[in-house]
Amino acid sequence: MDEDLPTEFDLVVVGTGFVESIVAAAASRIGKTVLHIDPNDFYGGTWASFNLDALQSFISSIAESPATDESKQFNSIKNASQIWHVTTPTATPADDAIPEGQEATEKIWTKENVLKEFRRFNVDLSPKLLFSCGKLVKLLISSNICRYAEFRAVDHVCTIINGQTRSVPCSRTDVFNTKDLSIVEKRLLMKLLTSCMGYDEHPEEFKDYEDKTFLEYLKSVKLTDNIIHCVLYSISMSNEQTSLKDGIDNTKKFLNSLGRYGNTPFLFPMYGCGEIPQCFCRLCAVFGGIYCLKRSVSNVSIADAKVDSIKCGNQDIKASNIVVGHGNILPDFSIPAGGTGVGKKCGGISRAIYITSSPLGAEELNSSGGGVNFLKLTDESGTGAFVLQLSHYSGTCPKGLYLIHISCSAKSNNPEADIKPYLDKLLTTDHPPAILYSIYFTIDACLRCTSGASITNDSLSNVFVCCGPSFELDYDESIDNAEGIFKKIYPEDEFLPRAPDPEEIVIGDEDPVSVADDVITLDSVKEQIMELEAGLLHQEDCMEENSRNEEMAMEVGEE
Amino acid sequence: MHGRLKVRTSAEEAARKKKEQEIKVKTYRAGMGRIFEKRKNGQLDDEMMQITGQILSRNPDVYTLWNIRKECILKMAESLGNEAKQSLYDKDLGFTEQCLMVNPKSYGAWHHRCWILENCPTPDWEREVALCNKYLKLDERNFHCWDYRRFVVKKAKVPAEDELKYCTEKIHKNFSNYSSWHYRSKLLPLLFPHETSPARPISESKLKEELEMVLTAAFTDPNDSSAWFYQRWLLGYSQPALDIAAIRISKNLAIASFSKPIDLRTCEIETNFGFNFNPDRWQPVQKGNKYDVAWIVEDSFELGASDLQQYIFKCRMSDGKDYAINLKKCSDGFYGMKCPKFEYEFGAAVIEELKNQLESCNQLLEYEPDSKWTLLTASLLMRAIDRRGYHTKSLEYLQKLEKIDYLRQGYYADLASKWAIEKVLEEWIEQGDLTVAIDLSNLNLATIFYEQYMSIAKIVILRNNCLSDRTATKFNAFQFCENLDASYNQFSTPGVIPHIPNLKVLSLEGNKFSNNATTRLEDQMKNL
Amino acid sequence: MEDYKFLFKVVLVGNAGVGKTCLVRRFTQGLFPPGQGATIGVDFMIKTVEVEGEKIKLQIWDTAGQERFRSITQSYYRSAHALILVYDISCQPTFDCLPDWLREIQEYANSKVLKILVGNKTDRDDREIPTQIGEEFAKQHDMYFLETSAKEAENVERLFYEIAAELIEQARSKEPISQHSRSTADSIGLSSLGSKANYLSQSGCCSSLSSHST
Repeated sequence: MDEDLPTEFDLVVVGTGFVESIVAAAASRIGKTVLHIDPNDFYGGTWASFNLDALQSFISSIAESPATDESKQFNSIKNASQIWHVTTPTATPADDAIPEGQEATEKIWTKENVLKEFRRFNVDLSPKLLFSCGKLVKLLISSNICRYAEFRAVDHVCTIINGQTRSVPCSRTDVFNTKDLSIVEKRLLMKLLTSCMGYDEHPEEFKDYEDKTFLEYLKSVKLTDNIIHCVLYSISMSNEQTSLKDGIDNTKKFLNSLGRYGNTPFLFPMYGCGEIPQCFCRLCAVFGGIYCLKRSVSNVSIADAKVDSIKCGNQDIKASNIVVGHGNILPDFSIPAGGTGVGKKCGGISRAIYITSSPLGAEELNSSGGGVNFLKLTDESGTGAFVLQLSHYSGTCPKGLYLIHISCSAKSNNPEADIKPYLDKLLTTDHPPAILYSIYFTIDACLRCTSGASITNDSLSNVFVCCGPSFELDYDESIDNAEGIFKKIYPEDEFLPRAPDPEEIVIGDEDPVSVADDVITLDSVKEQIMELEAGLLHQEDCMEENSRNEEMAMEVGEE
Repeated sequence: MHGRLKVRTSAEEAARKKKEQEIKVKTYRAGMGRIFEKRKNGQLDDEMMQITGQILSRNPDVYTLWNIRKECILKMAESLGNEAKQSLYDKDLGFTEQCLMVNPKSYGAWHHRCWILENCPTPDWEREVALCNKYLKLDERNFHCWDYRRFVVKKAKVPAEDELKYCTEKIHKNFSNYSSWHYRSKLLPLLFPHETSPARPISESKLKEELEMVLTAAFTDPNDSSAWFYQRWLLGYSQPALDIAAIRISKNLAIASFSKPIDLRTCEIETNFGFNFNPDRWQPVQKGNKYDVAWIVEDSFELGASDLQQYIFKCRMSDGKDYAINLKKCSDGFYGMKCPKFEYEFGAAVIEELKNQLESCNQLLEYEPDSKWTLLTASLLMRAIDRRGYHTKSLEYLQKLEKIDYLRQGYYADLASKWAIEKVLEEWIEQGDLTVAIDLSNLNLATIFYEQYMSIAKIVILRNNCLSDRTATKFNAFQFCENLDASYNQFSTPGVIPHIPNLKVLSLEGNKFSNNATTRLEDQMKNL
Repeated sequence: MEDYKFLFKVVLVGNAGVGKTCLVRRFTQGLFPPGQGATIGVDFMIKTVEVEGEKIKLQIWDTAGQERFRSITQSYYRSAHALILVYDISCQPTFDCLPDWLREIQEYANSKVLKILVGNKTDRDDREIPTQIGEEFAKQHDMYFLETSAKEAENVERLFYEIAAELIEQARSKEPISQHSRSTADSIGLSSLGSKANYLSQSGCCSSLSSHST
C-alpha cells in the first residue's frame, strides 16, 4: 500500500476525467511511461458517476465550502444544492382501505428506502449520449477500447407535442409502427429523410433555400406540423433559426447513426458515463501506466520555463510533460498553459438531477419498466436543454426508480432557475414524473476557457490543461481536445492505434507462428495426419469441394 | 520489470493462418479417409460419430457425413432401451445446435434435426419451437429456420393464433421479410376463413385490417417488395382458381379449355349426353406441352342425337374435385363458357377501407404526382373498388407509368393489356353469341391474356395493337377461329403465326414483315 | 458466428504479488513465468474448456497493475460472471486485506457474481495462513474456497474447470433451453456487434434511405 512510486515519467496526468484519461491512454499506448493520479478517491472528476451516498456527500461538500476557497483541489462544480421532496414515510393505507378491485399499491418510496438502495445508483455529473456512428464510438472501436464497456441502445427519442410526451419515429420500423402519423405523413416523413440523406448528391433540390432556415425549407415541402415538429426539434435538434445547411447536417448525423444498434441512433454506457474515462484508464494501465487515486501534487519545481518535477506525497517525481485535468490546478499556478483551445468554451452548464418514482410519459414510452429515453427541449434563445431519463435497465438506479438528468447552458449562477422552464415543460405534460429528490449545480468552464487569452505563465511549455465537459450531447469536442493535446506533446505519433486482441499477442518465448492447440483435438485423426505427412497427400482439395454451398434464392411470397 | 509487447507481424500472422489452414485441410482429408474406411468395414461406432462430428462442426454442409451419422445412430440405437436411445438422440441434437452456431443457414444441420426428432422415442417439440424463436431473434429473415418452424409448430400443435401473433411481432420489428408475410398468408385462411366464399382466402373484417397494415408498410418503404407481394395476395391478384374456361364440340373437333394450365390426360371427363372422351386422345393446343390451358380432340362427333334440357360437361381434375359447365346447343354442336373471376368482389366495409386508401394515394399524388408506386397502387385499388367505373382512369395511370418508369414499361404494358382484354371479354361472354366478333382492336395490346376463353370464338379482331412475335403462340388456342384480323401489329417473322385449322380469313397487313416475307405469306394465305 | 456456446468473464483481484498473473498464465499457457508483472498490452487471456460436452470460453481478466495503489477502476468488476479473490498463504497482510477487497466487490460487482477465495502459493513452506482459516473466511462470506500453487500447477485447472461447471449450471437453470449466455440483458458490446452492423441496418431507415431513392 505504501509502496513508492517510480520517480521519473514521460507523462504525469493529474485528474482522471474524460479528456485527461484519453491523453494518458494514448501516451501509454505508444510506449510512454505514464503516472496517472487523482486527488479524489474516485475516478472521473467532473465526469464521474456516484452512488447515491457518495453523491450526497459530494454535493454537501461543495455546498458547504465557500466558492472562493482556493485550497480546494476540486473546483469545477459550484452552486450545488440538494433537496428531498419526500421525508417521512407517508402513512401506508391499511390493506382494507384499498378499494376493491384495485391492485395493491406500488411501493411507496420514502427517503429512507431510497437511500437503502444507494449502491444501485450511478449518478452522472456529466451525462452524455453516444451517436452510434459518432466520434467516440468510432474511437472506441478503432482503439479496441470498446471491450471495456457495454452499452444500452436508447429506447426512445421523445418530444413534447401539445403537452403530450411522444416517441419520435426514428427508424423505418418506428415509422411503420407509429400510430401518431397517418400513412400519408409516414410517406412524407420517409421521403423528407431520404432527400436530406441525398443532400450532397442532389444539392439542386435545396437550391432555393440555401440562405434560408431549415424551418423555411421544411415548410416549403408541404409537411404537416406534426412532422415539422419531429424533424426540426428532435431529429435535427435544431430550432427556428437553424440554417438549412446545419439543419440538414444534423439530420444526416442522426440518420447515419440509425440502424446500427437498436431503434434509435444513440447509445448510453451501462452503469453511467463515468465508466467511459475508466475504460481509457484501463487501457493506459494495460500498457504499463501507473494508477494512484487520492494523490495530489503539493508542489512543483520549474526550470527553463518548464515544470521539471512535481512533489507527490513525499516523493519528487520528474516529468517530461504534465497534463492537468478539469477541476485540478497545480499549486502556486493559477493558470498553467499550453493546452489547445477549443472553439467553444467548455463548462458553463446548469445541471439538474432528479430521482423520480414514476417516469415521464405514458406506458408505451416506458414499457416493462422503461429503458433510456432522450428528449431535446428548445427555448426561444436557442440552445435548449438535453433531458435524459434512465431506468434500472441502464444500471444507474434501482428498479422502480428513475433518474432524470437535465442539462442546459448556464445563464446565471442559479442552476435551478436556469432549469426551471424546462422542468415546467416536463411537469405540465400528460404524464409528469413524480420527483422524490433533486440536485442542482453548475459545471464551470476550465481555467483556460474562463480566463481566455489573458493567461500569465503562458510560457510553461510542458503543462497542458484539459477542458471540462462541453454543452454537447456526444463527446466530439472533448475528443478533439484530447487529441489536440496529444498531438502537441507527441506530434509524430499515432493517436490511439488499435490495441491488439489477446490472440494476436506473442507471449514470452512462444513461437510466433505456432497454432492454437485446439485446431486438432482428435487423437485418432492425428495418426492419420502423420501418415499423410509421410507422403500420402491427395491432390484434390476436399475442403473446397464441399464449401460450395450457395445461398439459395430468397423465398418469395404466394406464387 | 515489464516485458515488451510483442504482436505477431503480418507475415507471421499469415504464416500462422496458412499453417492452421494446412492442418485443417489435412485433418479434413485424414478424417474423410478414416470415415470412408470405417464405413466400408461397417464400423458405425462412437469413433465414427466423433470424426464426423469433428468435421461437421467446422463445415456443417457436408451432406454425406450427416447421412453417415444417421446410419451410425440407427445402428447404435438398435441395442438400446428407450431411455438410452433418447439420450443418444439428444446428444446429437445438441451437436446440430453447435453446427447451427457456426452456420445458422446450414441445410444439413436443419434437416438432420428434423430427422432426429422424427426418429427419437420422445421428441420435445416445444423445445424446438423455442429454438426457432432464438434463431429468428438472431436473424428474422433466416428462411431455413422459418421452414423448420412450420414443421415443428405442426408437431408441437402450437395454435395458429399464437403463430400469427409471433408473425405479427416479427413484422413489426422488420417488415422486409418475405418469410413472415408468406407465413401470414398461410395462417390467416385457417384462422379467419371467408364468411361465405371458399374461394376467398380470408374474412372481410380481417382483410380490412390486413390491407391497412400492408399499405402502411408500403407507404413507409415503397422500395420493399415483400409488402407488395402480400398486398397483391390480399387483393386477389394471385393466380386464378382452377376452373373450366370454355368448351366447344363440333362435328370433327372438340376443345376444352381451363383457367390454368392442366394435364387433361389425367382427368376424367363425364357428359350426360353420351359423349365419351378417351383421355389419351386429348392433345394440347401447343404441341409438346405437358400442361396446357386448352386441349383438343379431333374425332367425329354425333351431334343432335339427344335432346336434353341440360347438357352437362363434367371434369374431375387432379385436385380430385369435379368441375362442371352447362353447354348450349348450337347449329354445329355444343358450346359453353364461364366468365373468369377477374377480381374479388369485396364487401362494403372492405370497399370503405379501399376507398380510404385510394384517398391517401390521391392525396400523396398531389405532393408527388410522379410517384410510380403510388400510381400503381392507386390503379390497383381503383380496380378493386369498381373495375368498370374506374376502367379508363386506371389505364391512364398505367400509361403514365409506362412513361415515367421506363425500366418496367413492359410490365405496365402487359398489365394494361390484361385489363383492356378483361373488359372486352367480359362483355363478349355476357352476350354469349359465338357469331359476334371479339373485338380487341385499337387497345394498345402488348400481349394476349385469357386466350383460352377465346378458343371457341369465330371471329377475333386484334387490329391495330402492338402485338409482336412473342404472342403468336397464343393463337394456338384459337382453334375455332375462322376470321383472325391481326393487321397493323408488330409481327415480323413469317411462319410465326401457327396453323389454325378452321381459319378462312387471316389479315396481316401493316405488320413488320420484310418484302420477301410478305410474298411467302401471300402464298400461305392462298392455301387457306 | 462463433463455435462456442458460452462465454464467461472471470476477473481476478487481490493484493499485488499474490500470484494472480501466474495463476492465469499457468492455466492458459501451462507456464510459470519466472519474472513478475503482467506482460505489457495483455488485457485478458482466453481459454476454451469443455465441460460435459459443452464448449465454454473463459475470458480471464487481470488487474493490469491497478491494485498496486488500490486504484482499480469500477468498470473492471462490471459484468464479471465469476470473481477470484486471491491471497498469498505465506503473507498475512494479503489475507488481512481481504475485507477491503470484499467491500469493493460488494460496491461494484454484480451481487450474483460467483465468488471464489483462493489461497495461492501452497508450494511455499513458510505458510502463515492455515487452510482452515481461509476456509472459514470463505464460508463466512459465501465464497467457494480453494488453495492452489501456480508454480506446481496444483489445483489450477481444477479452479477454472469448477468455475466453468458452476457457471454453466447457473446459466442452464436460468434458461432451460440452451441459450447463449452472452445474450443476457439488452446491453451491447460494440466489439461483438461491429461486424453485425450491416446486417442490422436492414431494419433501420438509414440503410434503406441511402441505398434507394424514389
